[in-house]
Amino acid sequence: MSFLSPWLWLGALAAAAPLWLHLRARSRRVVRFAALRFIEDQPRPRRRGFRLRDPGLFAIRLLALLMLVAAFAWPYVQAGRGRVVESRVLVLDNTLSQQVAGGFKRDRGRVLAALRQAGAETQVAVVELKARPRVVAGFGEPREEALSRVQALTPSFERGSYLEALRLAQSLLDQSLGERRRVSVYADQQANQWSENETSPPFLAAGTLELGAEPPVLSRPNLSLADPAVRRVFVGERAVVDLAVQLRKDGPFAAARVRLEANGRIILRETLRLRADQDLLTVRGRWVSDPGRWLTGEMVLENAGDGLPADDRVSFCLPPVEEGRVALLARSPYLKASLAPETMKGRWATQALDPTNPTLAEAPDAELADVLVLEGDYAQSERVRQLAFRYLNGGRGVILLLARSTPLLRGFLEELGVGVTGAAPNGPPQGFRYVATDHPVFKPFLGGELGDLLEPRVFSHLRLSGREAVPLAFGASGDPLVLEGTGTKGRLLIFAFAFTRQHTDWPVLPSFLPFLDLTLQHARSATPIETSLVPGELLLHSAPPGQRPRELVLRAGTRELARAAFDESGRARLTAPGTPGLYGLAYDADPATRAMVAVNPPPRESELRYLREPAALRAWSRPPAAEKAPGSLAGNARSRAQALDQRLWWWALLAAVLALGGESALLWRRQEAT
Amino acid sequence: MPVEVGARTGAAFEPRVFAAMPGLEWKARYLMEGFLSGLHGSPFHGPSIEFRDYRDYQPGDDLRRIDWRLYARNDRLCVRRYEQETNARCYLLCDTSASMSYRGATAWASKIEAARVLGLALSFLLLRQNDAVGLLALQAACGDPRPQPAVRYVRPSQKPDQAGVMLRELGSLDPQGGPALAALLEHAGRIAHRRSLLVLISDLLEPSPEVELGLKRLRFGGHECLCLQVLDGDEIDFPFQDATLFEDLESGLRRRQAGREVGDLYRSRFAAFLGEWQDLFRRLEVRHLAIRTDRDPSASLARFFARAQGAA
Repeated sequence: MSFLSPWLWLGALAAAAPLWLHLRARSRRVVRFAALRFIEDQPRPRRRGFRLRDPGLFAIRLLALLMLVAAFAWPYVQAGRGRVVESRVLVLDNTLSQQVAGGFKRDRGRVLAALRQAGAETQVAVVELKARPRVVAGFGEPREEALSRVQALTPSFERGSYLEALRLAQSLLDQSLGERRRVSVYADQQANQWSENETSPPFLAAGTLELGAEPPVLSRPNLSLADPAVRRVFVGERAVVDLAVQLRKDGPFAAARVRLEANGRIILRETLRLRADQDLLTVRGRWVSDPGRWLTGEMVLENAGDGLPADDRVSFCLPPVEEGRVALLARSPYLKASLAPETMKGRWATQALDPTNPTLAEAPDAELADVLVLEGDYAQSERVRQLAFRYLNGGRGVILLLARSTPLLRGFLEELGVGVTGAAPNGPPQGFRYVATDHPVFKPFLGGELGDLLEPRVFSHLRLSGREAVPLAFGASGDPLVLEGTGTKGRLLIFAFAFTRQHTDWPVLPSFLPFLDLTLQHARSATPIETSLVPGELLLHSAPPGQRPRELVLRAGTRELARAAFDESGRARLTAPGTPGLYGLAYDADPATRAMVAVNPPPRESELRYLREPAALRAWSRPPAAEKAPGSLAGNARSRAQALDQRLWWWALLAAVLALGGESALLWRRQEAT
Repeated sequence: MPVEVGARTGAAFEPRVFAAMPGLEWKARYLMEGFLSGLHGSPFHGPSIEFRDYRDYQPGDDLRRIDWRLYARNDRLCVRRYEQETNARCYLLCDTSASMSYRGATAWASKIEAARVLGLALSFLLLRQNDAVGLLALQAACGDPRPQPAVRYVRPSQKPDQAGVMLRELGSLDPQGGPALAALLEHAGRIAHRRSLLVLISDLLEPSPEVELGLKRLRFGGHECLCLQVLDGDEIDFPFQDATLFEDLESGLRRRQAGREVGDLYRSRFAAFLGEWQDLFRRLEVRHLAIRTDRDPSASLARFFARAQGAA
């Protein structure tokens, strides 16, 4: 756009407004007079077309309007100084899969070449596709600066979304000045990246997208490790670490050599035979570990010889076990024996509560245990019910064992969101039929080493229905036997039977102690420590109860990587590092590592399958009718931020405001004078 | 109290303050109290029933004034003479032509508003001294196609409720239509009793032989006449400087004139116009007072009536 643009002249026509107002006001000023006959014989004055009554005021008004027009027209005028034929956004894929066969370096070279070849009439921006797409160089950046920034990019281990990157590119184009607009994608065109958002509504201008180069092959062979799941299970006196890692096979691999290390010790090193029809297998490791210290380690595929070496290694970590406190209000001899110091030493310290204590529900918060194990019969007492609510409202856990139903107990359960429909009729003993195997309490039993969950028998139980509770295990009769409350701050686990000989034989079976330990661990912690992330993921860390650190520090060894402040609720947010590995978390200036986090490659990046003509491009493209006409005013407009950034715009606006202020002052003075 | 605002306190007259007084009655009372404070007696006189003496009958005397009882006793034709005191019968003749609606920028009211205030103030004064007061005006209704305007007449009365009647009637006068002063004087001549006091309130921007003739008839009819000429300051001073589009209030004709070019001519012509009226009033022995709507009317009235008392 230039000064010859009709839009600017139309705006300048606004300057005619004060002139018109002036003439209109003059012609409308009529004095209705009674004694005109004394001058009716006088000749009428010669009419002067443009005699201004107040030239100064008129000039100030014109100046104010012209300045306003200039201020608002300036972004368009500026935009028209150099004609921009094309606006182009280069999207550079920097996800983990681009490390295959040097794909990132190759595409980075292509982007650099495109930047160098772009002429002065082409404006170019560069978007880097990572976990969070970002603009490496905007349209307004000098070309040399953009080149140096792209040159400085390094391969990342993150997973990103084509959809997000293209949306960012389209938003840049929406604010661009070019008569033609184009998005060039330099990517490996990984299939799952194109397909994961295929149902998104159209947002791309039709015909603006071009793919840098077709993938040379449609798939590459790859072996990868992913999803490490590590937990600690107590089997008798021993603390056993249970590790499961997914090994994915894509291609003609016959064997994989696996090495497992933990705390500097090689746990496993052997070659696994891989069947041709098996794409996924779980590699498990189980070893005894000191529960009082952090567990750190990694599993590595040695000499895999696949397309992507970066996903041949996963790290894991596990916090040390802290002795928990259990408050026991139960008559079950099995529970008392199971939670006795001889059995749970170092893991759980049990305190038996006195139900006749009148100050039972008034104990200070510091004296409350981590978990309250409560038999339903004790809930007949008002004090006990108050104590249970204190535990739940304070974020502590409650395990409730129900042997029979009474009106008071039914009211108590109603408040907890659980209904009692009555006692089940006597029948044959029943075992667990359906169990939520992905629940932290039941999942460790999948391997079988901790005992068989189908072995316990329940002789009698209550029929429960959960209004604010989800069933975790059902019996053969179809009644829920274990439920977890969802309406309380603390975790609530409800058993439809008591751990007594009349109700079940589970306490005498080997699976009972691990189950009780896992149940207490689950009930204890409402905010588990996050120990496994993918690069670029958000890390949310809560300060331990009773501690108020100011900052969370992320470290790699002794090197500080990032720092974030804790908010009022005691939580801090950090972005996980972009490189896989083990990292430490510390508080403030304290060098001691308080927690650890394992960052592993995103598993979906290991699927090395590619698309030549992705269907998502058609799904994301807007129909041509919805496009704006090229060269339209809105299309050529600079963004608001760019307009505000221009100094002349501000000067023109300031001059307009000053002129208007002067006009008001002048008018006021004249009115005062008259 | 409104009377405290102006003459009594000695403060300078403020047209804006006077204009801000609520209602016609407050303004009229302020005006009456203002000019009455300088007088020692009634400024008006009229026929009375207070007997003074006899004189011999002369041809031409009214036969009704012959004392027939005295003639029966003494066989002499004598007529009764009476004391000349108050108890006048007064007619307020109010001009309601459209020219009376003009109000300048510095005036405290339009001319018709000033006429209402003056008329009501005089009514209060006359009723206070037990004189009878009435009203005569010619009112052209808005949009009325009839050439002859309607007569608004209030019979003179000295009853106490006459003040309310005058207030209502004066307040309802609406300036409309063209010149009607000659017709008003003609109606007054037909309606008024002999030797009444006729107070004409008008801007007199209607010189015509008919008006002069009407005034002469009234005087020859034995009426005492007083003319309160209400004028706006703009009509006297003509303060317009720039080229201005004027519209005649009565005829509606428009003309553009440069104020500074015709101002001197206008003022000289207007002074001559006033002089002609004054000559006429002097010849007819009609008392005349010009009242500007941008100045204190009570002061003008007080000076005028004080001079009239001194002359009497």
